[in-house]
Amino acid sequence: MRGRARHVADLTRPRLVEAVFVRSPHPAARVGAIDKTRALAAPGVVAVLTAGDLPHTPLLDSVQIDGLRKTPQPALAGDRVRFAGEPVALVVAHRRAQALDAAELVEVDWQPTPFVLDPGAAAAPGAPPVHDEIAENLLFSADKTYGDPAGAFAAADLVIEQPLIGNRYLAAPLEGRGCLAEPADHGGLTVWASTMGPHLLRRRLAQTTGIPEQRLRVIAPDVGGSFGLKIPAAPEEVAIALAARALGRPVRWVEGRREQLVAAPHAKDQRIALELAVSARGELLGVRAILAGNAGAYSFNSASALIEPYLGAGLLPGPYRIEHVAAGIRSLLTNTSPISPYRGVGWTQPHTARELAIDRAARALGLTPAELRRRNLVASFPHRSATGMVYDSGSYLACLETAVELVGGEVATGGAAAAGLPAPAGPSEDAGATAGASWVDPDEPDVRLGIGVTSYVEPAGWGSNGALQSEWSFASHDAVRLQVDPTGGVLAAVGTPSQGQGHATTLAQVVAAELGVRVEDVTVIAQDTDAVPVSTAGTRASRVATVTGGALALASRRLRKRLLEVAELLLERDTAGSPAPVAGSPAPVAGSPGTAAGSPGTAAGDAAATLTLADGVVTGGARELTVRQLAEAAHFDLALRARLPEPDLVVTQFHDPPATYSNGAIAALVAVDLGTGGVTVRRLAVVEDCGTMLNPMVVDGQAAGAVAQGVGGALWEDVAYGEDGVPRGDSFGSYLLPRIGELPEMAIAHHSSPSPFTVNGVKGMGESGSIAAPAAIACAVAAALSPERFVVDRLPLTAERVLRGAGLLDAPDPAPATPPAPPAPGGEAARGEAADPESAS
Amino acid sequence: MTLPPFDYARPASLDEATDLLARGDARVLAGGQSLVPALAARLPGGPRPGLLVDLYAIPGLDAIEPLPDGGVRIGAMARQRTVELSPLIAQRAPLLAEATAWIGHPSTRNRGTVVGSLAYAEPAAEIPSVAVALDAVAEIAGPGGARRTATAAELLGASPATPTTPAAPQAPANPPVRRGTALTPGELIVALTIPARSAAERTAWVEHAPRRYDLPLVGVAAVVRADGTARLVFAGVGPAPVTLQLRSSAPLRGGRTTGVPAVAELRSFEGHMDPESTGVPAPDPLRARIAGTLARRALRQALRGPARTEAAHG
Amino acid sequence: MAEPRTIALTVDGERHELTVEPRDTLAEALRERCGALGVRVGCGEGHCGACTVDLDGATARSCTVLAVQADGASVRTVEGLAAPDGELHPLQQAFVTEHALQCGFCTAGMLMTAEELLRERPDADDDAIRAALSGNLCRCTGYQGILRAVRRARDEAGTGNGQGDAR
Repeated sequence: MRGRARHVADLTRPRLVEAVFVRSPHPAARVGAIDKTRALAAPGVVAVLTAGDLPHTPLLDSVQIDGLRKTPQPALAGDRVRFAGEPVALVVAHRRAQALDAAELVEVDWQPTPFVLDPGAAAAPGAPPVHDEIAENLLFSADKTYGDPAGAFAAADLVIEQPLIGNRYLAAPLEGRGCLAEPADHGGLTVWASTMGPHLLRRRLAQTTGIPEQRLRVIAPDVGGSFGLKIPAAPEEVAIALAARALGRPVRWVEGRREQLVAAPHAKDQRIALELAVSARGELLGVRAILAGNAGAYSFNSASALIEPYLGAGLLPGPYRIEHVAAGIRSLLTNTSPISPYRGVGWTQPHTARELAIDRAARALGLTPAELRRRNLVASFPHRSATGMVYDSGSYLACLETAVELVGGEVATGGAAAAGLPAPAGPSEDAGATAGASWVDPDEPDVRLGIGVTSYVEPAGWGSNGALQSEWSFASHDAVRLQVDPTGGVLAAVGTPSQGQGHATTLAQVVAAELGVRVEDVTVIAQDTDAVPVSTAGTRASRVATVTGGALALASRRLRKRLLEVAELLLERDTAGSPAPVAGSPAPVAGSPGTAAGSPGTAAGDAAATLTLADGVVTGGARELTVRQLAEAAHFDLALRARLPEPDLVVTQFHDPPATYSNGAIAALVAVDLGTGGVTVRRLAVVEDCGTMLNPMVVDGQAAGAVAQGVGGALWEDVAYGEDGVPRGDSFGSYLLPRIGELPEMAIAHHSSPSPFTVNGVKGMGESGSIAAPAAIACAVAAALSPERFVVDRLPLTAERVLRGAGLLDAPDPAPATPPAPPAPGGEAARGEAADPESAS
Repeated sequence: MTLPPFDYARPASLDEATDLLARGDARVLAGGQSLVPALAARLPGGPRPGLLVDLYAIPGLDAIEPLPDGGVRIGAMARQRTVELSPLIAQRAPLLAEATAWIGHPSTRNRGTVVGSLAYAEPAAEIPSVAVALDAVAEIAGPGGARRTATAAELLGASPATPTTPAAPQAPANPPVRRGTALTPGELIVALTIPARSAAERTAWVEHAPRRYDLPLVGVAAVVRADGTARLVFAGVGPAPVTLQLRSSAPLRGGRTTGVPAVAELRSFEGHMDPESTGVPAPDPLRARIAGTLARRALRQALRGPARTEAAHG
Repeated sequence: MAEPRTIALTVDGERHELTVEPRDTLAEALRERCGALGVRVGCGEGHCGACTVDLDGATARSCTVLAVQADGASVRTVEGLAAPDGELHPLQQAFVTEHALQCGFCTAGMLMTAEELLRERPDADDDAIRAALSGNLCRCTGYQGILRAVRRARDEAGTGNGQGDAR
């Protein structure tokens, strides 16, 4: 804001040198000799390092799931590269410009080899193996059945087949990745990194470098956005740590934008063949799907290729009472950049496929899309989903109604006109016209309007239990430390740094409310593994509000109790030195924030019953006491200190909360220009229920940001590998993020269904827009083009795809869509397997 | 993000500049809004000049001047933002002002120059097509005090096309590949002159890009004359601007100043133009369709809009 | 060839003499030689607008301007927006009030661009705001708070309350 934030690129250290990676221009190649001579002779060059110079234990996918084959990933590739952008050497120089110049002088003997980019092709017989030891490029294959999907489909009156080629896109935070590693005492390292999880990075660095964790200190300075990208440890971070150790001086790497778009891990990229079984009465009976994830060239270390298809499978029922589910989960290696987490991990594309299928079912049944959803949304809680998730509370129906109202009404009911929109075209003989109908913009006859609405459920706030309900192995618990200093200031030390989510504000509010102090007296630190307790997972999976926030709430309650004990003793001493029986029987202080419920039977308890701590002041006694006075006394009043059962004002609190699920609905009104294929988003309605809101402004900001990213993924963002195996979306001029002109002002609304399971009913949030906005946009475009019987089967919805899908471009597609699902293992016919995954189990 | 090394000169005169440019590896630096990003990309095959010749210090190059015959002269260092907001340009070449507002963003137009955009000759960019549409003439300086002029069409190798006579013999590249200008080493464009236009002429610029203000996929300049003829110049459908001449069966009345044209008038143009396609040999069906759409919209916009004489007073 | 040369820059009112290579961009010179770390480089190719500064009264993307081109110029960065006593510029205050920033990486460029807009067009409507900020990418906010913040700064300046309400 004032320009005072400091990111990795802003740091200075004595004797700092800058590193640039030499990266493969080929999607697959044998790496012959690497000649460093010319680079080493270039001005300012300190070192040129290759794989042989930096021995280490490669990164390895840490997820524990039976049947997952793992691919060690080196910090620098040795004799073989497997994706365009994979690093093979590190050039270190005094200035970054010098390192960039010298990197162009490193001569690598590239021997290009056959490569495969499409996961469908990767499984085909004769496809080039990405890793020789992984047959058929298949990292994982499992078929899961919940309920009786075969029975559901046999009983169905209507089966909708919905293929979807989900696009490969990425978080692309404004600040790229980067780190600075500096040798420390006793063979240790201090590493400043643009990361979401300092403890997680420390663990990976320990595993790869062999340096014990206590000698590794990881600090996350200010971080310019992440959205999941900075969760896993990057091979580059390992290489920089190793280089700093090898060179005995601080080394920094600052990722360039082109470098990021090509070589950083990408996201999403599932090939989906989904089927929806529906009864004539509009009941969603069952869903089955093949979810084939494009893993990229490695199963990425601390994230796993499985985050996409595996997590997607668990949420196939979504917010609906769909009792019968079959999921065929595949993960395939290709010569593309590895897949890693990005907001809405795994859930986005299966959600989109399911929602598109629901709209088509509605059209076939003569219902509005909202009505079909209404008939099937979960309405009583807790609800155990077919896949084993326990939806704890929610407002699924109410959110749908609000979203429909905010976007301008249901098209077929004339609500659009009531909301000031042009009236839909009158009912036609086309059965589809009653559901998701399009209408024409009177000012521009080429423009068709359409509305899409989608309901979602978001696994929100993964503790270990939440992960377990997704059948995922994931240690997700936090410890926090809360302390009051002698001046009454409060320090909250947590392991979950912010990359723009406003943790410092939100978590300080939690502490202030629970402890009873002013928010400005609370400082949250989260950046430094030497200063904060362990968070096993860091900032990810919308877990901070429930896990970290829950831990802080519990810690605050304990600390408040201690402060009130101090207050009691001080007040007692006021009344002529009568000794209070405190030691050995601490006064229980529990209950809701700001009041102290005492227990009868002790003098202290009686006193506590009357004392209140709020805004940093204890009231209810003979005089008011400030937290500052209490803290001063607790630290320096030796007589009083001797009488306290626990005289320090430091609390450490562990927390691993039960699973909880947020919900909501998103609706979009789009205009499709049949003359150009352009899609304009005219309205967005975003309705969110994340239980008790800690900070509504932060919630709104998170919701809007996630929706914007979802809209980008639906309409523009695409890594788009070319036939040469190199991404076409390689700059912010060709990888198209939404800009201010592409996004309308959003109508954001809330319902609140506090969780019965979490501290204060709080739920996580922040990913729903990325999960559900692509579906809202895709359904709206399909609705706008329903007279053309447009079936969305691929994202993003570029002009070419819109016009071609609508039958308005005649020439053959220059880049024909690959099959929606790859052949199942064993080389059997893809479609048969896709249609009936449970038959294989 | 960090540029490859090069040398830099800031000559104080045109002759000094052209002498420096005669060095084979020298390039002109004007606004730098295309060149510097291209350098920063460090792509194989991208520009690697040994010397950048900055025109900034040459006196008078930033002028936008009225010409006695009613035309206007735009110097090589006149910034796009200045041109966009210039009352003189609004009066004498409103099409240029309209199109310039679509180039990039305010902060890039503050630096970028109109002449630089012409010289960069990006096939889908606004300025080359507008320059062709307005019969603009480039003043060119060369080594040893040489001076010559060339029309924008000559400079860019822009050729007319008709619905029946495709200009490009072979399948065009997709997207169109930049062909550059017919400048020889050492030459630079000193100014662009736009000749006087008829007061009754109406013009419009329309373009389509995935996101507003991106380099368009296709752009169209429409110039409708009082005699009922019209010219459409397309950006993004070929390696250089492509011109389509239309002849209306219902000429506009000279001096017409108000209102939306009769539907018949527009139809008379559309009769020459399949709504699905202009007949312009676009490199792919998508560009062809967009070109057809934008051609209709550009004509409609030009005919709906006020005549230029009104714009000047309004 | 490509010899370093000495240039002068006035950055947020402070005069600097610095030696740069011809290829050094203004962004690099500001960050590495003038200590103006509030200038953020998001893409380095003129696409994202994060590095936008005011260069002699008009905004420029400092990654697309050579430092040598700016010789003698006066540059204002985000660090020069607030008053010397620390009081926030009305736009900065509006950004806080409207939650117009999350990670903050784009904010400096947004503020400088919006400042130029409201200087040139104090009555800028939504279309004008969107057009002016069209070249500034934000990945966090969906631009919702940014649009509101620029409106707020415009309205408060229009009613003469800008400074008064900026606390």
